[in-house]
Amino acid sequence: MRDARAFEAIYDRHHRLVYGIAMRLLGQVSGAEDVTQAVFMKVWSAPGAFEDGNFAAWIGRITRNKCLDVLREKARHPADELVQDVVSGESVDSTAFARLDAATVQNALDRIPPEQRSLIELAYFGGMTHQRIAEKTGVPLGTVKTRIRTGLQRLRQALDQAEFA
Amino acid sequence: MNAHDEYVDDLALLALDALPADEARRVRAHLSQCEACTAEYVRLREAADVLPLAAALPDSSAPSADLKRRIMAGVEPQNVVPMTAQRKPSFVAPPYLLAAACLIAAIIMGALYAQVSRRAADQSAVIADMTSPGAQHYAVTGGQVLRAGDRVYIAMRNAPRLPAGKVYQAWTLPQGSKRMAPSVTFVPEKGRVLLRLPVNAAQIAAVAVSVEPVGGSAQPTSKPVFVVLFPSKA
Repeated sequence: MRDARAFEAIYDRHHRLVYGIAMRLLGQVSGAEDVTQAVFMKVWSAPGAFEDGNFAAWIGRITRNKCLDVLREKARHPADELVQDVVSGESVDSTAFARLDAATVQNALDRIPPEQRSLIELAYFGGMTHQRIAEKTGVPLGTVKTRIRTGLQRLRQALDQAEFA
Repeated sequence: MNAHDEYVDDLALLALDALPADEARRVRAHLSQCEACTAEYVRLREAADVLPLAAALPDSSAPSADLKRRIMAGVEPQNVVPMTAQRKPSFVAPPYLLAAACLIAAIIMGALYAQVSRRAADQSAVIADMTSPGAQHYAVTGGQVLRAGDRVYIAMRNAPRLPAGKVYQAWTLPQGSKRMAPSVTFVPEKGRVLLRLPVNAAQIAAVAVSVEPVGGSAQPTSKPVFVVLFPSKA
């Protein structure tokens, strides 16, 4: 049986992450809120979809894929809304850990050379294939593949050193 | 070139969902029969999976409170408040009593407001410390120790489960001392704990945590779970 209180706890703990990803990919408040709502409705309607592992990573990937669907389905309109400054009611604990996670991952990303990091971000947050990245950046296809592999391996090593992943 | 060399670049692309569908199918078919490539793929996929975590928002850009209301409205029926007949007040307070009651209520509300304001300020400071550019992060078993200004935090997300009758205890090593001083004890909830040590970071040389009996110990009685040495200032 689904538990609304447990669901609310999941929302309180992860909504900033989901909304943050959506804002990063869509750059628009209303679109980010729509995606956030759709993601949490998916969590509610299919609680068995998450099987094992890191829940934050799982819900992050769902959000990213949902955003890419949105971007693919319709032409992106320029942002016409201001990001609202709203203080949410989440606990300091959840916020603090989200910040620690963000800082740790960002620190790990910062240790990757920019030419590798930018290609990883185009692939992951831009939803581009390696061929599309090569076309867009003018970097040879083989170099794109090598840089992405090397960069991701370095990210993994940095996360290991931070005892994160 | 062996089979692994052929796929080595593709594993990272697959982990990032950056392969066209037909190539992704080809790589997955290889993974189904290659343990070495599967192990490497899992490592890279785990790294890719945490990329979104870097997208956490600054405090000022949270989603609206209305969004939560909309979402929760979709998962639970609206609470229906039963209608009840209004009762006639059985006692009507005289004006002077009402005025006194209002004064007491105002004093209490003022004190509560000050308390809540202090608490909110403390919480904001904690959150700001988590991503302070000057903060130093030290990876430890199950989490990290963070030093920001004169504050020291222990943040554990995957603290090892404690044996029955045991707690974690933090220790600090005062500058110039060779003897650990006992600090707080704590029990993580579902492996998570975030606490600020009651100590001035500038006055200590190290932080450690050990497993101790409930109530804590005067000196560590077990091998530390971790020890973090702070670099001494030049």
